[in-house]
Amino acid sequence: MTLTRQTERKFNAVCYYVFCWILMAVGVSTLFTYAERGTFDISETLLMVQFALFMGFSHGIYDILILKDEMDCRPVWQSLLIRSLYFLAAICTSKALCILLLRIKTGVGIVNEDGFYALADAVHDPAVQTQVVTFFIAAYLITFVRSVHKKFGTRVFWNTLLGKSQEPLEENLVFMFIDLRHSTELAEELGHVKYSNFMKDYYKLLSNCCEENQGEIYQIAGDGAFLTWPISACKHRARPIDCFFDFNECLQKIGPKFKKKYGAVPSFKAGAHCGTVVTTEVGNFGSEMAYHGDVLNTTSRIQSLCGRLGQEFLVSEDLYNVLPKPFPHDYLSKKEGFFELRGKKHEILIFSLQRPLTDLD
Amino acid sequence: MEDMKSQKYLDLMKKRIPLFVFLAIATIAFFLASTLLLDDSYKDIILIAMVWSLPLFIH
Repeated sequence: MTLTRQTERKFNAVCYYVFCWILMAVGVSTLFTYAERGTFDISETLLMVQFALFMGFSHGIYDILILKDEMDCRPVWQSLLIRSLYFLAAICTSKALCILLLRIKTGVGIVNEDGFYALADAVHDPAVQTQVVTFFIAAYLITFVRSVHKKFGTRVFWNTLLGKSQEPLEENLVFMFIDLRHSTELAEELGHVKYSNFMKDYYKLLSNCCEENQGEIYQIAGDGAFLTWPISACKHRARPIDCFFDFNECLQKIGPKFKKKYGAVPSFKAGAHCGTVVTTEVGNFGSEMAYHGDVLNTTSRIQSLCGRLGQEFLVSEDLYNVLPKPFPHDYLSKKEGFFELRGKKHEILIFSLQRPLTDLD
Repeated sequence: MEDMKSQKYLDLMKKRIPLFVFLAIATIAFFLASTLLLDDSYKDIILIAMVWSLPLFIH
C-alpha cells in the first residue's frame, strides 16, 4: 500500500503534534514531580506518555483533518472560543481516560467504582488543575510553533525564536522563477474575488510541491514566485526538476477541480539559474529575509524567454552543469543557444528541458 | 423571516450530522460488543475511542 503525497504530508503533520505532546507532557510532568518530591517518578512519566498520545493524536487530527490545516476562516473571537473549548475538552477527556485506564480491573473493565472515585478526587486535586492549565497553554504553544514554522520557514523561525537578525551571508543558491500563464486574462475573466481564490489554491499547491522537494518559497509577487534551494542540495538530486515535474503533475490531477470551480486550469512556465547571493534581513518592523544578487534578475529574465522560445522550462548553463545527469522523470535537455538578456553584458547559454511525448518506459 | 430561521436551523443540523452518525455507529458497535460477540476488553476499547473522539466534534 502506498500513501499518496497528501496523506503522507498529513501523517507527518499529525506525527509532529504527537511528538510535541510527548515532549511537552513528559517535560512538564517530570519538572512538576521533581519540584514536588525532589525525585523522578517513572510511572508518572509513563502515564504522561499515555496522556500525550491521546492528546497528540486528538490535536493533530483536529488541526490537520478537521480544520484542514489552518484553513479556519471563522472570525477571530469565534475561532478562539471554539479552539479553547476544544483544548479544554480534549485535555480533560484525555486526563480522565488515563485515570480510568490506570484503575482498570479484570472482569469489570474501565467502568468501575474505584476509577470513578479517583476521577472525583482528581477534579479537586490542585496538581491536576495546574496540569490542565499548563497543558491548555502548551496546546496553544504547539499550534503557534507549527504556524510560525509553516508560514516563515525554518531559518526565519529559528531567528525569530532566538531574537536575532540574519547577518549578511554569502550563499550559493539555485533559484527557480515560476510564472502563471495567462494571468491577466484570468483576472479579467474571473473577477477579483474569484481570481484571488484561484491564486490561493494555485499557490497552496505550489508551496506543497516546493516543501516536499525541500525547497523554500522566497517570494510571491502577483502571479510569479521565486523558489530556492542551496546548490549543495541539488548536486545529487535535481530538486528544481523534481519540483517542476511534481507541480505539473499536481495541476494535471487537480485540473478537473479547478475547471469545475473556476472554469480554467492553471498552467505555468519556469526559468532556473544558480549563483552566489547575499542573504540578509531587511527592515526593522515587519522585516523580511532578502536575497540580493544578480542571480534573481537573471532567473526572471531566463523565465521571460519561455514565451519567445515556446518552452515551459528553461535553465541556465551554470545550473545545467550543477544538476546531476541523467535528469529525473525522463527530462531531456536541448541547447537553445546563447541569449543576451536585458540588462546583462554577456550572453548566457540557455537549455530547455522537456519530456518526450512518448513514454520511454 | 421564518424561512431564514428554518434555513439556519437546517444548516446547523447539517453541521451536526457527523456527530449523530458517529454516535449511532459507536452505540451500535457497543451494543454488538456487549450482547453478541465480544468480551469486556472490546467494550472498553469502544468506550475509550468514543469518549476520546467526542471533543473532536467541537468545531
